[in-house]
Amino acid sequence: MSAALTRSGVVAGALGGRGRAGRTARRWPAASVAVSLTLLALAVLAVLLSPVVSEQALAQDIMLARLPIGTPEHLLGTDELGRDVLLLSVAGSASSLVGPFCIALGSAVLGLLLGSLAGYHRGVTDAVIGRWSDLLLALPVVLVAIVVAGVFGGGYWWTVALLIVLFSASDIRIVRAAVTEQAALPYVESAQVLGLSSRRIMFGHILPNVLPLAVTNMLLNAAMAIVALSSLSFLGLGVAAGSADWGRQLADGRAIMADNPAALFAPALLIIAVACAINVVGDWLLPRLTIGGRR
Amino acid sequence: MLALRILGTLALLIVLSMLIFLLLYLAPGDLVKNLLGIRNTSPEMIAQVRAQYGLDLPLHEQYLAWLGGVVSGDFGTSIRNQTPVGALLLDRLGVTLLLSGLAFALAVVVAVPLGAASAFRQGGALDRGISGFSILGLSAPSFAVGLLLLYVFAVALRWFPIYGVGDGLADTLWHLMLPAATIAIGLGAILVKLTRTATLRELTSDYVTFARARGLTRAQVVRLVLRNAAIPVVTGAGLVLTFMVGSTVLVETVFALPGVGMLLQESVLFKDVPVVQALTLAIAAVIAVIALAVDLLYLLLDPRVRHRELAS
Amino acid sequence: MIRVRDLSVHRSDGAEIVSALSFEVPDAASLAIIGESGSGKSLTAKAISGLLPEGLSASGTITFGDLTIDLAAPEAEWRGLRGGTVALLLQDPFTSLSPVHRCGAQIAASIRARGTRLSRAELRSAVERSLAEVQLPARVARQYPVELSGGMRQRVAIAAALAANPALLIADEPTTALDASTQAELLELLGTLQTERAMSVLLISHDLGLVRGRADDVLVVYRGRAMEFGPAQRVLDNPAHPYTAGLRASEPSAEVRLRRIPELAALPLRADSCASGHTDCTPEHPAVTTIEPGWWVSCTDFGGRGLTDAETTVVEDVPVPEPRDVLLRVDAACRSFAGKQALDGVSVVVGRGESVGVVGESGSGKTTLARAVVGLERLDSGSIEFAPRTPATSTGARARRARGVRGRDPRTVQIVFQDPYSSLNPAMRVDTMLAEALAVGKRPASDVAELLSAVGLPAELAAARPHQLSGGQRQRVAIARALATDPELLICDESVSALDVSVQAQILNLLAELRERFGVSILFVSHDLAVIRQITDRVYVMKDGRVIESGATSEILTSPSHPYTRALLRASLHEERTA
Repeated sequence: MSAALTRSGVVAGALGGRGRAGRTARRWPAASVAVSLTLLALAVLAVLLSPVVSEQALAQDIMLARLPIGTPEHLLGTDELGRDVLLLSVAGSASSLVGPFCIALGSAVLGLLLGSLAGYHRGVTDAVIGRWSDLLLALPVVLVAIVVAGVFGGGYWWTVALLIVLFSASDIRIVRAAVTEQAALPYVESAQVLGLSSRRIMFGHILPNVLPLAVTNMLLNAAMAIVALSSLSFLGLGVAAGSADWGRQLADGRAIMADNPAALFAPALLIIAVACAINVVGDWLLPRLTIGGRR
Repeated sequence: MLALRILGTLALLIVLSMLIFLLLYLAPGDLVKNLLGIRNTSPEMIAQVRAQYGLDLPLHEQYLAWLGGVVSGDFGTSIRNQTPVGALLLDRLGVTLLLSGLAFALAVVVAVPLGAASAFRQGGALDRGISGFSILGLSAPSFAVGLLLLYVFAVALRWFPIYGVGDGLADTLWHLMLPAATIAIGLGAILVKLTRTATLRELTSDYVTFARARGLTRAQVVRLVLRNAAIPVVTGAGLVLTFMVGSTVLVETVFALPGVGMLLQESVLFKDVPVVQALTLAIAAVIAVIALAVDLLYLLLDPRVRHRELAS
Repeated sequence: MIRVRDLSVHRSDGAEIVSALSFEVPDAASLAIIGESGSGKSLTAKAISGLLPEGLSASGTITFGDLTIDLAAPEAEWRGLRGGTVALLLQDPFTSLSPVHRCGAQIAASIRARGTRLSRAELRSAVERSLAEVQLPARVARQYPVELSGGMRQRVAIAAALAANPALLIADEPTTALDASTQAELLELLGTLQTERAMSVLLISHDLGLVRGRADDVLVVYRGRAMEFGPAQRVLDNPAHPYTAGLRASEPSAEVRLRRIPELAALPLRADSCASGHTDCTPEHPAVTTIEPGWWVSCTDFGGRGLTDAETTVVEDVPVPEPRDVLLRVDAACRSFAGKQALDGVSVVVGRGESVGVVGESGSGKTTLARAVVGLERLDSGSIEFAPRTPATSTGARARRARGVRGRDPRTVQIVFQDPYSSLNPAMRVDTMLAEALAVGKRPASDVAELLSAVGLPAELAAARPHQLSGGQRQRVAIARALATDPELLICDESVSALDVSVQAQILNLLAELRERFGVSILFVSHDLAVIRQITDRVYVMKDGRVIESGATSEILTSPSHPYTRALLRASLHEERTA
């Protein structure tokens, strides 16, 4: 099983690109970090605005269908149903971003809880939680999500809940590995010799040292969740037809890409830009979160 | 140790098969209604269909019957077009294998050398460029990339066909170029990152300093580093194959390619339970076998692991 | 003659880490560079092989005969010089060889790098000759490093380094990662090779004693500056510089026990004016006083101080009886890991107020014993019993909560570990850490200041986090934390092994002081006979999970009866006695 463990570490490490204390993490130029932070601020603004504009954005007018990019009053043109692409994109930010945020947060909490338990207590707890995450990781997240969401239907929040569970598997692994590493260190053993309760050791001593890793992993997951959730809505899963959502927009925009490519480009670039920005901020944050650094 | 791994893989597959079976058994909607469609149904017809599909048996017998079928190569009958699932699968397999093989080859050939080169010149223009590309590739969903490529190269520039698989090998390859490139971008981004991280880790290790310290030539040092970095890269590359499965489904949909992914998506939307069951289990089996092969490769590539495994 | 002139190492922000070192290594002779951590000795080694890590740059020159190399030369130039002219042997044999290449291939790579074209058979026999030279059998060529012990790996590394036939071999702490007996063998091998090949050797070490009899000359460095250079034997016998003298004095001896180990006070590097009246004496370039040709010291204002009475008082060896008032009794303890017997019927007794040592090499089971006593390791069989002054009587929930790991009472036994870097929680402030431990001992958090002063730390450090502290300060905090519960027994598991000798002396003195002041008993586990000699009254010698000998420390370390103890003692005394 050691080989299996090592290779999951290899892949997690490579995907996170965050070797110990970010030794191999990329250092992004200040400008790209600033741009990324601005982008994320704009995205938050769009999410806040989306309830305000959604009524107007969803208003259909077949007479105005397929207007090209650059039309006055419809800067990015309109889609097949005559909806303004720019407004629709702002309105779609809520559905495209709030869910992924909840997925990342939820799976991080689950991961911290179960990963800490497994890594600290080992034994039966570890075996059960370990097999559980093995099972979840045995199939690609997107595939399971397609099958389960497709066969069971269920709305947006059911899909989010499903993705929380699926995403938590990798969080559990990462947290478990980090906690196991910490638990063997003398400072934890000193706390044990002092007779402190395991809850106190787990959450008071070990958790603060594992948190930076969990937070950066959460950001990585947020970017991956945006991709996963929009993939599902692109396939028509999780969001109702005709609702404002970037993945949905892409599916619809495909039919009219010759008339108004912006109907395709706007949501596609938005997804890519936000996911990129989150990744850049994640790389930038890790060394700043690590306390003092180790030797 | 290896026997244990194989047993573990088998156990995992059995548990997965139970879950897959149970999941679809629990699926909402009446299977019988689905089967009979909108025809007027009489109780006799319903009973006949239930008997035909074994739906009147207890759950565990249904499962065992299904599993027995799977083991002997009988995956059941598609509800949608009433053909055997196995035949349906085989029919669609060619396109998918070609597509994923092409994408994987493309990704490995481009990404691994780039990742290594980027590590050897850490911080240089090449490294920065590759870092930018890889974060883009990691962040971009395959369907979005696919649609963008489709617009640029097929609709606007007309270099490639918009959809279909074409006739003959050359034509098929030409048709598969854009979809393969789409998958390869995501896969390549992961591989670049994996290779770069692995190579960087090796470059900072003691044995590289010692190799330089005793006068080994640059070419010798590079070979030393690459051989060591190969362990995480090769095993990692095997594992990222699983990441390909998800994007293949989406890319086949975008480019309207009649592959296994498309079949899965159609069957899910149609709630064609036998096909979904068979496909999911088949994919799980392929992934499990890849993981096992990666472990074997690990044993082959790393004398430390070999030493430990032999010692225990 | 190999000459190094004005070797300096700078950080990219301009800070100077090594300042203008100049020294010579005569042909076919050896020079040892001695310094504590942070002295810049390893950077010096890297600078004269062109291997400084990124962010550091060197200046100065090195001359081999009529070939002079600028230390700031580009990598391309260095590449041609490494191997045939200068080769560097690294400290850790466990990481310095490529794990996925056979040992033979790695030696062959050095041979090939010289550009000599050899047939496969010639290459094989060349590798075999290399292996024979370091006294390894030919089969090692086909083995991977993972299949070899640390000592054998370092031999392979030496063979690989010498295969390119360097004029100068730099060995950077080549034996620090190894056991004492292996250490001695390897150093002997290096000495033999040096004479046979008539090459020059630069030995880098933190250990003055190690150098005795193994180097012709010695250069003592402190914070990147040369303190003293001269013939090794004479410098060690009669140090001219107070720093050298202090370094030598603070090394504990296995032969006599001092009431107090001399501590090396932090050396103030001269500020602005030179009180000794030297002209041209600046902090960057202190004036050099020549004692005799080939022996010089650099000027500092450090006047040095005489040793105090306690530092010269030899403790009388008095017979130590078996204790009557027993605090800890370990009886027939057994524990095995993966089929290997780590503890094989070990019985140990610690009396109230006693200081007891457990000594042995790695793998002897001494650490397992220490961990079992505090409850971090379970026993397969046997028993561990405490007789605390105030036995826990109540069995209520409150009492159970105060229980430590595996039922040990945290107010009876505490432990101090080896590594000061990982034994404190990096995320916690010192006061939080200590207050938590005080609460276990039912003491108020206001006792933090008292605790800090007891271990000799200023009260301001209460708000610090571990990464802001030095290794010695961290170890003091770890001791303070262990003492917070007023334990009756303190376990020290190699607690001074990771420290520089000057800091080691301070911590050992502190432990002795605390023992006197709080009446705490000590069980001190160490591989180092000299440390054991200074801090313990009685000792148990362990080998392969068994106690092979026990008795008063003074007796065991002067006239051991077991051959293994004798061998250990010889390896340890070699450093002090060889003359």
